[in-house]
Amino acid sequence: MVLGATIALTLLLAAVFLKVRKQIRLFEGLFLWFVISMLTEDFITLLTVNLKWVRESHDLTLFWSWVLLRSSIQPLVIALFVNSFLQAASWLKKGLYFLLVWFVLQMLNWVGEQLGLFHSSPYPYVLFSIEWAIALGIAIGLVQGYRRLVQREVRAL
Amino acid sequence: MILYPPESFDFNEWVVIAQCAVLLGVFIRLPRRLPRSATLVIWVFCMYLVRQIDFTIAVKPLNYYDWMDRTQYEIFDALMYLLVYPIFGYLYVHLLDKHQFRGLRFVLYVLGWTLFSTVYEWINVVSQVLNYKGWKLLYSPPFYLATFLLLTFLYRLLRRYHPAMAPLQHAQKGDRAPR
Repeated sequence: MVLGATIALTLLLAAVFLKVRKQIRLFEGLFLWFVISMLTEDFITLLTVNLKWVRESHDLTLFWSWVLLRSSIQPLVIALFVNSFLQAASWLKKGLYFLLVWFVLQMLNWVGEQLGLFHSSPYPYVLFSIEWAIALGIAIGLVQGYRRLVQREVRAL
Repeated sequence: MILYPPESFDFNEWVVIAQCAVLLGVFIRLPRRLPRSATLVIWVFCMYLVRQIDFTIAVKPLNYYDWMDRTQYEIFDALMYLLVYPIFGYLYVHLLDKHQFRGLRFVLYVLGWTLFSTVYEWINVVSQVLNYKGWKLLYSPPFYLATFLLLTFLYRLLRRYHPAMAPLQHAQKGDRAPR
Protein backbone atom coordinates (compact mmCIF):
# COMPACT_ATOMS: atom_id res chain seq x y z
CA MET A 1 0.00 0.00 0.00
CA VAL A 2 2.83 2.37 0.87
CA LEU A 3 4.58 1.56 -2.41
CA GLY A 4 1.33 2.08 -4.35
CA ALA A 5 0.80 5.44 -2.66
CA THR A 6 4.39 6.45 -3.39
CA ILE A 7 4.09 5.49 -7.06
CA ALA A 8 0.76 7.36 -7.31
CA LEU A 9 2.29 10.45 -5.69
CA THR A 10 5.28 10.31 -8.04
CA LEU A 11 3.03 10.06 -11.11
CA LEU A 12 0.79 12.84 -9.83
CA LEU A 13 3.72 15.17 -9.17
CA ALA A 14 5.25 14.35 -12.56
CA ALA A 15 1.92 15.09 -14.30
CA VAL A 16 1.52 18.37 -12.39
CA PHE A 17 5.10 19.36 -13.20
CA LEU A 18 4.70 18.62 -16.91
CA LYS A 19 1.43 20.57 -16.94
CA VAL A 20 2.64 23.69 -15.15
CA ARG A 21 6.27 23.73 -16.32
CA LYS A 22 6.73 27.09 -17.95
CA GLN A 23 9.91 28.51 -16.48
CA ILE A 24 12.17 25.47 -16.61
CA ARG A 25 13.56 24.37 -19.96
CA LEU A 26 14.35 20.74 -20.80
CA PHE A 27 18.05 20.66 -19.94
CA GLU A 28 17.69 22.96 -16.96
CA GLY A 29 15.12 20.48 -15.64
CA LEU A 30 17.35 17.46 -16.29
CA PHE A 31 20.36 19.18 -14.76
CA LEU A 32 18.30 20.16 -11.72
CA TRP A 33 16.89 16.65 -11.33
CA PHE A 34 20.29 14.93 -11.42
CA VAL A 35 22.02 17.38 -9.10
CA ILE A 36 19.19 17.75 -6.60
CA SER A 37 18.72 14.02 -6.38
CA MET A 38 22.42 13.60 -5.54
CA LEU A 39 22.29 16.54 -3.20
CA THR A 40 19.42 15.12 -1.16
CA GLU A 41 21.38 11.87 -0.83
CA ASP A 42 24.57 13.66 0.10
CA PHE A 43 22.88 15.70 2.77
CA ILE A 44 22.06 12.39 4.34
CA THR A 45 25.20 10.43 3.56
CA LEU A 46 27.89 13.05 3.92
CA LEU A 47 26.70 15.09 6.81
CA THR A 48 25.62 12.59 9.37
CA VAL A 49 24.11 9.17 9.22
CA ASN A 50 25.91 7.58 6.29
CA LEU A 51 23.04 5.78 4.62
CA LYS A 52 21.34 4.88 7.85
CA TRP A 53 18.02 5.63 6.19
CA VAL A 54 18.56 2.88 3.68
CA ARG A 55 20.52 0.45 5.71
CA GLU A 56 17.97 0.07 8.45
CA SER A 57 15.02 -0.66 6.21
CA HIS A 58 14.91 -4.37 5.37
CA ASP A 59 11.41 -4.39 3.95
CA LEU A 60 11.69 -4.38 0.14
CA THR A 61 8.38 -2.55 -0.40
CA LEU A 62 9.41 0.22 1.96
CA PHE A 63 12.86 0.24 0.44
CA TRP A 64 11.52 0.86 -3.10
CA SER A 65 9.22 3.55 -1.70
CA TRP A 66 12.27 5.18 -0.18
CA VAL A 67 14.10 4.96 -3.52
CA LEU A 68 11.16 6.72 -5.20
CA LEU A 69 11.03 9.34 -2.47
CA ARG A 70 14.66 10.35 -2.81
CA SER A 71 15.06 9.96 -6.57
CA SER A 72 11.73 11.30 -7.83
CA ILE A 73 9.40 12.81 -5.26
CA GLN A 74 11.86 15.16 -3.57
CA PRO A 75 13.40 16.38 -6.88
CA LEU A 76 9.92 16.87 -8.37
CA VAL A 77 8.75 18.94 -5.39
CA ILE A 78 11.90 21.04 -5.68
CA ALA A 79 11.46 21.43 -9.45
CA LEU A 80 7.87 22.58 -8.90
CA PHE A 81 9.18 25.07 -6.37
CA VAL A 82 11.81 26.45 -8.77
CA ASN A 83 9.16 26.80 -11.47
CA SER A 84 6.82 28.72 -9.14
CA PHE A 85 9.67 30.80 -7.72
CA LEU A 86 10.82 31.93 -11.16
CA GLN A 87 7.24 32.63 -12.19
CA ALA A 88 6.39 34.72 -9.12
CA ALA A 89 6.38 38.43 -9.81
CA SER A 90 7.02 39.78 -6.32
CA TRP A 91 9.58 38.89 -3.68
CA LEU A 92 6.77 38.39 -1.17
CA LYS A 93 5.31 35.65 -3.35
CA LYS A 94 8.74 34.13 -3.85
CA GLY A 95 9.28 34.09 -0.08
CA LEU A 96 5.90 32.49 0.51
CA TYR A 97 6.64 29.76 -2.06
CA PHE A 98 9.97 29.17 -0.34
CA LEU A 99 8.32 28.74 3.07
CA LEU A 100 5.53 26.58 1.69
CA VAL A 101 7.83 24.14 -0.12
CA TRP A 102 10.27 24.09 2.77
CA PHE A 103 7.34 23.04 4.97
CA VAL A 104 6.13 20.44 2.41
CA LEU A 105 9.60 18.86 2.25
CA GLN A 106 9.69 18.52 6.01
CA MET A 107 6.22 17.03 6.01
CA LEU A 108 7.43 14.50 3.42
CA ASN A 109 10.28 13.57 5.76
CA TRP A 110 7.93 13.28 8.70
CA VAL A 111 5.37 11.17 6.78
CA GLY A 112 8.19 9.02 5.39
CA GLU A 113 9.41 8.33 8.88
CA GLN A 114 5.89 7.61 10.17
CA LEU A 115 5.34 5.13 7.33
CA GLY A 116 8.63 3.43 8.08
CA LEU A 117 10.45 4.33 4.85
CA PHE A 118 13.40 4.93 7.09
CA HIS A 119 13.76 4.10 10.72
CA SER A 120 15.08 5.62 13.90
CA SER A 121 17.31 8.07 12.17
CA PRO A 122 19.35 9.86 14.82
CA TYR A 123 19.22 12.88 12.57
CA PRO A 124 17.84 15.94 14.37
CA TYR A 125 14.96 17.60 12.59
CA VAL A 126 16.45 21.03 12.96
CA LEU A 127 19.26 19.92 10.64
CA PHE A 128 16.74 18.66 8.10
CA SER A 129 15.12 22.08 8.15
CA ILE A 130 18.39 23.88 7.52
CA GLU A 131 19.32 21.40 4.80
CA TRP A 132 16.08 21.81 2.93
CA ALA A 133 16.39 25.58 3.07
CA ILE A 134 19.91 25.27 1.61
CA ALA A 135 18.70 22.78 -1.02
CA LEU A 136 15.98 25.16 -2.20
CA GLY A 137 18.48 28.00 -2.47
CA ILE A 138 20.92 25.78 -4.38
CA ALA A 139 18.14 24.64 -6.75
CA ILE A 140 17.39 28.20 -7.79
CA GLY A 141 21.09 28.97 -8.17
CA LEU A 142 21.58 25.85 -10.28
CA VAL A 143 18.82 26.66 -12.75
CA GLN A 144 19.80 30.30 -13.10
CA GLY A 145 23.52 29.50 -13.33
CA TYR A 146 22.90 26.83 -15.96
CA ARG A 147 20.66 29.21 -17.91
CA ARG A 148 23.37 31.89 -17.94
CA LEU A 149 25.96 29.39 -19.11
CA VAL A 150 23.74 28.28 -22.01
CA GLN A 151 22.94 31.89 -22.95
CA ARG A 152 26.64 32.73 -23.02
CA GLU A 153 27.36 29.74 -25.23
CA VAL A 154 24.49 30.53 -27.58
CA ARG A 155 25.77 34.09 -27.98
CA ALA A 156 29.24 32.73 -28.74
CA LEU A 157 27.96 30.39 -31.47
CA MET B 1 31.28 11.24 10.15
CA ILE B 2 31.45 13.16 6.90
CA LEU B 3 33.36 10.88 4.53
CA TYR B 4 35.25 7.86 5.81
CA PRO B 5 38.94 7.53 5.00
CA PRO B 6 40.17 4.13 3.73
CA GLU B 7 40.80 1.47 6.39
CA SER B 8 44.28 0.96 5.00
CA PHE B 9 45.91 2.85 2.17
CA ASP B 10 47.04 0.01 -0.08
CA PHE B 11 46.78 -1.35 -3.62
CA ASN B 12 43.11 -0.63 -4.32
CA GLU B 13 43.49 3.05 -3.35
CA TRP B 14 46.46 3.37 -5.72
CA VAL B 15 44.40 1.74 -8.48
CA VAL B 16 41.69 4.39 -8.04
CA ILE B 17 44.26 7.21 -8.01
CA ALA B 18 45.88 5.84 -11.17
CA GLN B 19 42.47 5.57 -12.90
CA CYS B 20 41.60 9.13 -11.94
CA ALA B 21 44.96 10.48 -13.12
CA VAL B 22 44.84 8.69 -16.48
CA LEU B 23 41.22 9.57 -17.17
CA LEU B 24 41.65 13.20 -16.14
CA GLY B 25 44.68 13.42 -18.44
CA VAL B 26 42.66 11.99 -21.33
CA PHE B 27 39.72 14.30 -20.60
CA ILE B 28 41.88 17.42 -20.45
CA ARG B 29 43.72 16.57 -23.68
CA LEU B 30 40.59 15.77 -25.66
CA PRO B 31 39.59 18.47 -28.14
CA ARG B 32 36.29 20.01 -26.99
CA ARG B 33 33.44 18.88 -29.23
CA LEU B 34 30.50 19.67 -26.96
CA PRO B 35 29.60 22.93 -25.21
CA ARG B 36 30.33 23.10 -21.49
CA SER B 37 26.63 23.11 -20.62
CA ALA B 38 26.12 19.83 -22.53
CA THR B 39 29.23 18.27 -20.95
CA LEU B 40 27.85 19.27 -17.56
CA VAL B 41 24.56 17.47 -18.22
CA ILE B 42 26.41 14.32 -19.35
CA TRP B 43 28.71 14.52 -16.33
CA VAL B 44 25.96 14.85 -13.72
CA PHE B 45 23.83 12.26 -15.53
CA CYS B 46 26.64 9.68 -15.23
CA MET B 47 27.17 10.52 -11.57
CA TYR B 48 23.45 10.36 -10.94
CA LEU B 49 22.99 7.01 -12.69
CA VAL B 50 25.90 5.22 -11.04
CA ARG B 51 24.91 6.51 -7.62
CA GLN B 52 21.26 5.61 -8.09
CA ILE B 53 22.26 2.06 -9.00
CA ASP B 54 24.79 1.79 -6.17
CA PHE B 55 22.54 3.39 -3.58
CA THR B 56 19.82 0.95 -4.60
CA ILE B 57 21.50 -2.43 -5.05
CA ALA B 58 24.68 -1.95 -3.04
CA VAL B 59 22.92 -1.08 0.22
CA LYS B 60 20.71 -3.13 2.52
CA PRO B 61 18.39 -4.92 2.02
CA LEU B 62 19.90 -5.97 -1.35
CA ASN B 63 23.55 -5.14 -0.59
CA TYR B 64 25.19 -6.99 -3.50
CA TYR B 65 28.60 -5.33 -3.43
CA ASP B 66 30.83 -2.77 -1.73
CA TRP B 67 33.27 -0.25 -3.08
CA MET B 68 36.76 -0.19 -1.53
CA ASP B 69 37.43 -1.26 2.09
CA ARG B 70 34.30 -0.22 3.95
CA THR B 71 30.58 -0.77 3.61
CA GLN B 72 30.14 2.96 4.32
CA TYR B 73 30.50 5.76 1.83
CA GLU B 74 34.21 6.64 1.74
CA ILE B 75 36.48 9.14 0.04
CA PHE B 76 37.56 6.80 -2.75
CA ASP B 77 33.94 5.85 -3.54
CA ALA B 78 33.30 9.56 -4.03
CA LEU B 79 36.29 9.79 -6.42
CA MET B 80 34.84 6.99 -8.55
CA TYR B 81 31.49 8.78 -8.71
CA LEU B 82 32.96 12.23 -9.28
CA LEU B 83 35.60 11.43 -11.88
CA VAL B 84 35.91 7.89 -13.20
CA TYR B 85 32.38 7.11 -14.37
CA PRO B 86 31.53 10.59 -15.69
CA ILE B 87 34.74 10.66 -17.78
CA PHE B 88 33.95 7.23 -19.25
CA GLY B 89 30.46 8.49 -20.07
CA TYR B 90 31.88 11.63 -21.62
CA LEU B 91 34.34 9.58 -23.72
CA TYR B 92 31.48 7.43 -24.97
CA VAL B 93 29.50 10.50 -26.05
CA HIS B 94 32.56 12.24 -27.47
CA LEU B 95 33.38 9.33 -29.78
CA LEU B 96 29.72 8.90 -30.70
CA ASP B 97 29.53 12.57 -31.65
CA LYS B 98 32.78 12.41 -33.59
CA HIS B 99 31.99 9.30 -35.63
CA GLN B 100 28.17 9.49 -35.76
CA PHE B 101 27.80 5.71 -35.79
CA ARG B 102 24.62 4.39 -37.39
CA GLY B 103 23.11 0.94 -37.93
CA LEU B 104 25.43 -2.01 -37.46
CA ARG B 105 28.39 0.22 -36.56
CA PHE B 106 26.34 1.74 -33.74
CA VAL B 107 25.36 -1.72 -32.45
CA LEU B 108 29.03 -2.76 -32.49
CA TYR B 109 30.02 0.49 -30.78
CA VAL B 110 27.57 -0.04 -27.92
CA LEU B 111 28.48 -3.72 -27.57
CA GLY B 112 32.16 -2.79 -27.60
CA TRP B 113 31.67 -0.33 -24.74
CA THR B 114 29.59 -2.91 -22.86
CA LEU B 115 32.39 -5.46 -23.21
CA PHE B 116 35.02 -2.89 -22.25
CA SER B 117 33.05 -1.85 -19.15
CA THR B 118 32.64 -5.47 -18.07
CA VAL B 119 36.39 -6.07 -18.44
CA TYR B 120 37.04 -2.83 -16.57
CA GLU B 121 34.75 -4.00 -13.77
CA TRP B 122 36.62 -7.32 -13.66
CA ILE B 123 39.90 -5.41 -13.23
CA ASN B 124 38.32 -3.47 -10.37
CA VAL B 125 37.16 -6.72 -8.77
CA VAL B 126 40.63 -8.29 -9.09
CA SER B 127 42.22 -5.18 -7.57
CA GLN B 128 39.60 -5.13 -4.77
CA VAL B 129 38.26 -1.73 -5.70
CA LEU B 130 34.92 -3.51 -6.01
CA ASN B 131 34.04 -6.32 -3.59
CA TYR B 132 31.18 -8.60 -4.56
CA LYS B 133 28.81 -9.85 -1.84
CA GLY B 134 26.52 -11.99 -3.95
CA TRP B 135 26.87 -10.09 -7.22
CA LYS B 136 28.38 -11.82 -10.28
CA LEU B 137 30.24 -10.27 -13.21
CA LEU B 138 27.73 -11.92 -15.51
CA TYR B 139 24.93 -9.70 -14.12
CA SER B 140 26.68 -6.48 -15.12
CA PRO B 141 26.58 -6.39 -18.98
CA PRO B 142 22.79 -5.75 -19.15
CA PHE B 143 23.26 -2.76 -16.82
CA TYR B 144 26.09 -1.39 -18.97
CA LEU B 145 24.09 -1.94 -22.14
CA ALA B 146 21.13 -0.06 -20.66
CA THR B 147 23.46 2.70 -19.43
CA PHE B 148 25.01 3.24 -22.87
CA LEU B 149 21.61 3.22 -24.54
CA LEU B 150 20.43 5.85 -22.03
CA LEU B 151 23.55 7.89 -22.71
CA THR B 152 22.87 7.64 -26.44
CA PHE B 153 19.31 8.84 -25.83
CA LEU B 154 20.62 11.76 -23.78
CA TYR B 155 23.15 12.58 -26.51
CA ARG B 156 20.43 12.56 -29.18
CA LEU B 157 18.28 14.82 -26.98
CA LEU B 158 21.22 17.21 -26.60
CA ARG B 159 21.94 17.18 -30.34
CA ARG B 160 18.34 17.85 -31.16
CA TYR B 161 17.19 20.32 -28.53
CA HIS B 162 20.17 21.87 -26.79
CA PRO B 163 20.42 25.48 -28.00
CA ALA B 164 24.21 25.70 -27.61
CA MET B 165 25.07 22.60 -29.67
CA ALA B 166 26.92 23.61 -32.82
CA PRO B 167 25.87 21.91 -36.07
CA LEU B 168 27.82 18.76 -36.93
CA GLN B 169 31.08 19.58 -38.64
CA HIS B 170 31.43 16.71 -41.06
CA ALA B 171 29.03 15.30 -43.61
CA GLN B 172 27.83 11.77 -43.14
CA LYS B 173 28.44 9.10 -45.69
CA GLY B 174 25.54 9.25 -48.09
CA ASP B 175 24.49 12.73 -46.96
CA ARG B 176 23.83 15.22 -49.70
CA ALA B 177 25.56 18.53 -49.65
CA PRO B 178 23.20 21.39 -48.78
CA ARG B 179 22.10 23.44 -51.75
